[in-house]
Amino acid sequence: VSGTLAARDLTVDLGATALAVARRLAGGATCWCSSPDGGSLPVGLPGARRLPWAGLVGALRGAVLPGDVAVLRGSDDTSDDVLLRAPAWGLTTVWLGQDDRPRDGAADHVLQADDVDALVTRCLALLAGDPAALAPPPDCDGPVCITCSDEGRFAEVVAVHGPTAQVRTAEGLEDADLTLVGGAQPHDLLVVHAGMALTRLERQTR
Amino acid sequence: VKYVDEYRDPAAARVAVRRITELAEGGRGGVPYAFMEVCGGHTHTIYRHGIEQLLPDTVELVHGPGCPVCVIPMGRVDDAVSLAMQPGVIFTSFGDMMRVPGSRSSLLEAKARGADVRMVYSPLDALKIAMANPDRKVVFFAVGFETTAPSTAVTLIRAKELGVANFSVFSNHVTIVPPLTAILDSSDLRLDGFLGPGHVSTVIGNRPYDFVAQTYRKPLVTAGFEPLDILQSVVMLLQQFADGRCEVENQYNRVVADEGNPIALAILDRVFVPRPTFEWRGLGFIPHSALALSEEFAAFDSERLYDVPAVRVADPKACQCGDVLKGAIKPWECKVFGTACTPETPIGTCMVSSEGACAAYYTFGRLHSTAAGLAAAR
Repeated sequence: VSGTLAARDLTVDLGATALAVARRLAGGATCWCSSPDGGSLPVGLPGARRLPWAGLVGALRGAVLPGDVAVLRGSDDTSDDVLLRAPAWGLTTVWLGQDDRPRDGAADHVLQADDVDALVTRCLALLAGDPAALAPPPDCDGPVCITCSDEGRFAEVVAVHGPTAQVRTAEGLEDADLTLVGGAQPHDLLVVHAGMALTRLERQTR
Repeated sequence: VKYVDEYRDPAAARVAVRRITELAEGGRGGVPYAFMEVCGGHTHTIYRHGIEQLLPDTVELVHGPGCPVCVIPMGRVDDAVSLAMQPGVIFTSFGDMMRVPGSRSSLLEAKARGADVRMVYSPLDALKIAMANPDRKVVFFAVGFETTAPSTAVTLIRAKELGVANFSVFSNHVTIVPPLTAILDSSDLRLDGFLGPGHVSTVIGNRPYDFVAQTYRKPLVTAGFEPLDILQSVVMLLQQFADGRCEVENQYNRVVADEGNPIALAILDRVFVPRPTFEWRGLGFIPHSALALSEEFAAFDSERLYDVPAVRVADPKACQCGDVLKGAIKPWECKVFGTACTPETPIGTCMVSSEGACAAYYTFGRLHSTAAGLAAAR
């Protein structure tokens, strides 16, 4: 029974992942792929770009736009760092692989199975022929009150100017006051509320 | 309503739902486990992502008083409108507060009558407006829990350092622990545990909640804002019952440190003092539950600089926001929900902010079968 359940769950996740990626690509996003061994990844996607695992964080930082997709295979400090920064970059993340999955919730989509790359590619090819499926879902997000929602947006520091930093969020560039975090360095990750950095995010040890 | 396959990491979410179903089987002595999410952000996530529909009947989520706009009493809104109508004043506010009805009007209606009311994203923006308009007096309507209060505090310190004399703050900041105590002390309490607020806890940490477990014997789990965070926090609460434990735990440890933010706490301590008491909509007067400006910042305190009515105003009789905020009734059980009271024409505060339980339910939860059935029966 558990085997049947697992297969059904994987099928559902595969469909959800492929649909999310296909919608991004249809909207003009770029898909960035990388694995530590340079192994197979669904690089047959339209516009997919392969990046080397070494220096991946820096390469993505300079390359991605909000809405882009990153497909990763490996699980190590590099993948942890990318997944941690992805919300600040506005990046949708997909992790493929068999063992050592990322921490729960670290990636948007996790497909934990052998040889899943080909299935993703096949699904995407099928979806590419179905424009109706690729239409963006209706936006049901109303205005959000920053104080009522206890908002905390993930932001990566771009540059520091005295008590203020220019930060990068999924919505674009903005300023954040650094008083409450005692300063910051470029590339630090912050949680920002009402223009104020509340805390600095640290990568959790594996 | 969204489905689990649309969640971040749906595979992990599915595991959490199954674990909840196992752990909550039979409820607590045959009665569903009742957990209160204290934070308005959690309420929004729960409704927007249809989490209640995923949970088994043996788990009930009760929506708490964690929307700071919702808990502001009508008299304070009247005070804000009075300040906004003062000659020469530019009145600045977060967006949602502008729509909250006072006894006679909202800030938005005051703006329509000629008051200079402006929406800001941050109190620092209000300070910039003051510096750009030295011939005007700028008032900032400060609302929010400990997440937002440090922003106001830093802004006041900045205003003092820069000598900006035309800037003041109408402080309505509230704190999270006193209302938790009030809820725990209420005679009709039927809660088994709490989902603790996420970003408030980045400032105050987790230790201020220890009394919930130690004194009141209710577990509390500080939770993040993704649907998966909520589900995992419910698992952690249920696991405590299964293990016979009662503790404060931190599901949101990727962001929240146990000790909170010491710099923010020191700044709050300098700029604010607790009010002896403060009225909360639905909960009445709660001692030491709100923040006033300290003597050092008296020159920036709107309540000392201007005459405000400071009159207590009763809620409209038909409005049951108070019962909703205490978790005594569900939003759709209010007599005016969805009829006289809608997000377009709110009567109560819970219908104003999108994080208010009524507005969130109206927007995302109206297809819930129970609500639909009850609405039809009314």
